[in-house]
Amino acid sequence: MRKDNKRTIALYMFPAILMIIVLLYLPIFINLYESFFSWGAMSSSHKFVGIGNYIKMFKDEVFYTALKNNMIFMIMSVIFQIGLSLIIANTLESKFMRKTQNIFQSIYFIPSLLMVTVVGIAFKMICSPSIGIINPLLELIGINAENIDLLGNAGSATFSIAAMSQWQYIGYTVVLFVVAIQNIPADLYEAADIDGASAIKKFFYITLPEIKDTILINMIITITGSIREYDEVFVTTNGGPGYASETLATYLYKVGFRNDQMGYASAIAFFIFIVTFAIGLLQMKGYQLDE
Amino acid sequence: MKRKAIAMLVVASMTVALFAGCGSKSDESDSGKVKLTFLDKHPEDEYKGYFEEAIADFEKENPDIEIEYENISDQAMKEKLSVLAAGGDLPDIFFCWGGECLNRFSRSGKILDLTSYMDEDAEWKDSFLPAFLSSSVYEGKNYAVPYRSSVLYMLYNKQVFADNNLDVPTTWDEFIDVCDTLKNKEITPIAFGNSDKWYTMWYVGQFNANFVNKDVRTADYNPSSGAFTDEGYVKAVQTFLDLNDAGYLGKNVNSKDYYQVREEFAAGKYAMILDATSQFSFYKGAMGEDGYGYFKIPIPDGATGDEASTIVTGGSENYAVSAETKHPDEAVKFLKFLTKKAQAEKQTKETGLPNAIIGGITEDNSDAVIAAAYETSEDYDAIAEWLDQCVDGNVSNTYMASLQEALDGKSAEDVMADVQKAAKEVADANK
Amino acid sequence: MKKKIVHIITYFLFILFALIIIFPLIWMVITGFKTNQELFLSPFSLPETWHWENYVNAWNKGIGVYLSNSVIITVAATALSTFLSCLAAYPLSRLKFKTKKLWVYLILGGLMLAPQSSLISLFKMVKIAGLYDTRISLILIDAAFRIPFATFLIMTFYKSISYSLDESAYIDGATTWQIFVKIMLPLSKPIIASCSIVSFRAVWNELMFANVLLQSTDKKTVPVGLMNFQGMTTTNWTLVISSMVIASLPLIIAFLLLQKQFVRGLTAGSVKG
Repeated sequence: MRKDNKRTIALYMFPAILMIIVLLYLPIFINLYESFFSWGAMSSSHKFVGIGNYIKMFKDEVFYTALKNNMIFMIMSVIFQIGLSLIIANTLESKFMRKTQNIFQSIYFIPSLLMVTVVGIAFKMICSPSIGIINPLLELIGINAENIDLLGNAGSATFSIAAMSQWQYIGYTVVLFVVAIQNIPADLYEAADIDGASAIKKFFYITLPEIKDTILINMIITITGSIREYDEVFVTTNGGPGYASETLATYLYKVGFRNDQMGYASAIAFFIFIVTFAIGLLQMKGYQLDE
Repeated sequence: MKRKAIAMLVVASMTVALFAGCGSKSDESDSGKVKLTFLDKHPEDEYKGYFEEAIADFEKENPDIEIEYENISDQAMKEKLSVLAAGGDLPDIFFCWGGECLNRFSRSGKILDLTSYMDEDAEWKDSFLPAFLSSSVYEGKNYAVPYRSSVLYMLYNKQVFADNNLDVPTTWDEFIDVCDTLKNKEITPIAFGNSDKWYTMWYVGQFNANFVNKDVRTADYNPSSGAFTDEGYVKAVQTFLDLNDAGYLGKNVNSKDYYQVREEFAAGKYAMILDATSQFSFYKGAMGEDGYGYFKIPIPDGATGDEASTIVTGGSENYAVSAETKHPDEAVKFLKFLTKKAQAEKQTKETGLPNAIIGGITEDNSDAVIAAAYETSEDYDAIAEWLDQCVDGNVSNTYMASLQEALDGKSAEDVMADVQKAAKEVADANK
Repeated sequence: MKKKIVHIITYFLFILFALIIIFPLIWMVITGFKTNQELFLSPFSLPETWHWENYVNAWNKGIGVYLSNSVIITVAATALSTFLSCLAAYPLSRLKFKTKKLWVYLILGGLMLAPQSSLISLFKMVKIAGLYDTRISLILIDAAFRIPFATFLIMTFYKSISYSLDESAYIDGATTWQIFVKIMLPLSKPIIASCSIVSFRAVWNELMFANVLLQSTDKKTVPVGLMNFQGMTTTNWTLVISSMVIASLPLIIAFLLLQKQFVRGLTAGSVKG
């Protein structure tokens, strides 16, 4: 690699960096400032409360429920959108599947193109104990489904929404993985074939190390995505029953736009930013900037 | 190096040019005309046409005024009002729900005090149904005008009642008897679904009005003095939960929604449903004018509120004028146009949205059932505002979330403990 | 023989999984033909009569009106974010400089923001800039939110391209710009394709900013327009569903077209160092 003129480098990055700083960072720092005040969009008072909003947040039970739910989203997303999705992508890339690869890949990807609202309506119907199909299916395989109400019971609501989210987005990471696997030079596999390596060995010793950057990216988007989780919850239970399926983002939205406690909402928003940023930085340790 | 820089510059300027092209605003107002912006709900086809025509008629009458009309959906409105208010850019005339939604604008001085206009034109002021006009009064001043009204009734499926030899209940005991009879015949008595959370508030709001005295309620519903410590509130929640515990509301209420159960009610799967007059047109369409009847939900046993017998739950939807409008006189002129009797009657006839004018709903522009419902409602001097709208958002959300948990086993006392906590927080913040 | 059985089982599992994915999709399409009543009373049976007019209405009342706005905004935001991301990713992955880490983290940080939290601040900024109710404000904001992920994706791709390519180009006297335009961009087709589809779907379906930043009816996007079908108590759900089915068709078509770009071997082998 060659050392390059600083100005050249700056020119390449300038437009993107400028947009990010002005449109993404500036608002979040305005937010940080606003989080030290008690204020509402509709009211005229704007009172300095110091870290009052943050203290309130750490004493707020709903905040912890939301945090726990975000963790559920995160764990399920990593299992499905990274683990299972990698297996699917790798299998799609095996020689015997190549003829049908495109068909499967397209089918799996299509849900991620839909609007969450329509997916939400579909899943509300499917999960409904009175008119849905999941309960009858469970009865069919001998499970007593009388007390099962997937979206209506506090215990199962978050898991059901998270499952819907997996249904929608698993194909998305599959495609990203497939693209990455296709970029692995064929000669690596050919060499392994000559050595007589098994498919599993090839997966662990060639595929995984070669696509580790993509794995990392997908990890970052699924994890940060699950911490910002909003849409799916909003269109299915809107946080209910009670606060059982509330996430940080839905709670922040409610606090800000329904309760008109904008200062408190800003504090939650800044907390989300700090947490996701910290997690992102930790993951970045595995990302090599230079070859 | 130089060439690179130039290339980058070209790219950058092209991007800018692209944006400039996209961003050309069409903001120049026609010469000399007064321009008013009007943000309304009702983007649905069945309503939009009426409003567009009304605006055109108004503009014809007042050639010097131009109305810039925008409509967005109910859901979008909630967020938009917050953002516009925070950005200090409210439209000249805009839609607002009654109760606390409107009061917080009034309190912060973001909307125009219409009292002087109303005093000037007593005829206009006196044309509104007082119960609905009062929901936009804050500290004795008028801050908006109601254009749409709604009152809560219990609807029943006439066929189901006839099949089971049931009479319309007039007392609470009769009501419970009806429910029991139906339940014994394995018919779920009341259609209810609470996945959207607001549906419980209709019941509890009505029961609050039955169990709690007016003065106490008024103080509690005010954000700066809310306490909710009266034991009537617990009784109100308990009365509602008893209906659920007795199985009158059916199963899995937290995952069913309002749309589902009202279709099922119309199809005869339930005997009754609690709904507002503004929705009667749906039932008329689905069941025919003779398919459904309505009654006032009876007063629960032990209801001790001083208005228990005279009160119904209901509410209005209003238009307010921004405090910062440059043309307050013209804006008020438009409000007067929309709410004058002939226009209001036309609104009800063409859109089915019940107006808020005395004598404004007749068999002529509506149907017999609705007209009769309004005749009775003209007698009610007390209207209990929708509970989800007449209290602070924080109190309302706490109420709704806790009630959802209560349908899953939480006690009425615990629900009110949550509400008290939220009310205290809100009161502290408003001091 | 054993291998064959494994293959058959694998196929079986993939087909089963595909069915699980497809079932709700088909449900949506069919439900779009029903009446509201049928939807709630017998959601999983076929419609009694097929109401084609639902789709016609969905087009006439919703999508058709807002389609051109959505196309303008989505195409512009996608093109802008992808192009700027390509530019930014180039030095970050292939040139050497001291502060690189800082810039990478700065861009990465952009992934971490919950858009809900920026809404009010962004609205105020847009007002101050005088861009309220203009498409440009939405294009810029949508593009900005897409840049971090796109840059990251492209960076990772660039890193997988052999460095010997630019080394030899340097020796031939090419400038970095020439290398970028003549070597990197042509090689980036697959990643530009996947980046575009990813950004495209996000911008196409974006609702919150579009609702708040645009005011005039003639600038509304499809998702905002579709909200008009959902009143609090007047929703025609089957119309909502048929509209959303139509609204997602452009995306699905775009995906199927772009998918050709993902084809194997375009970059593999020859360029990996």
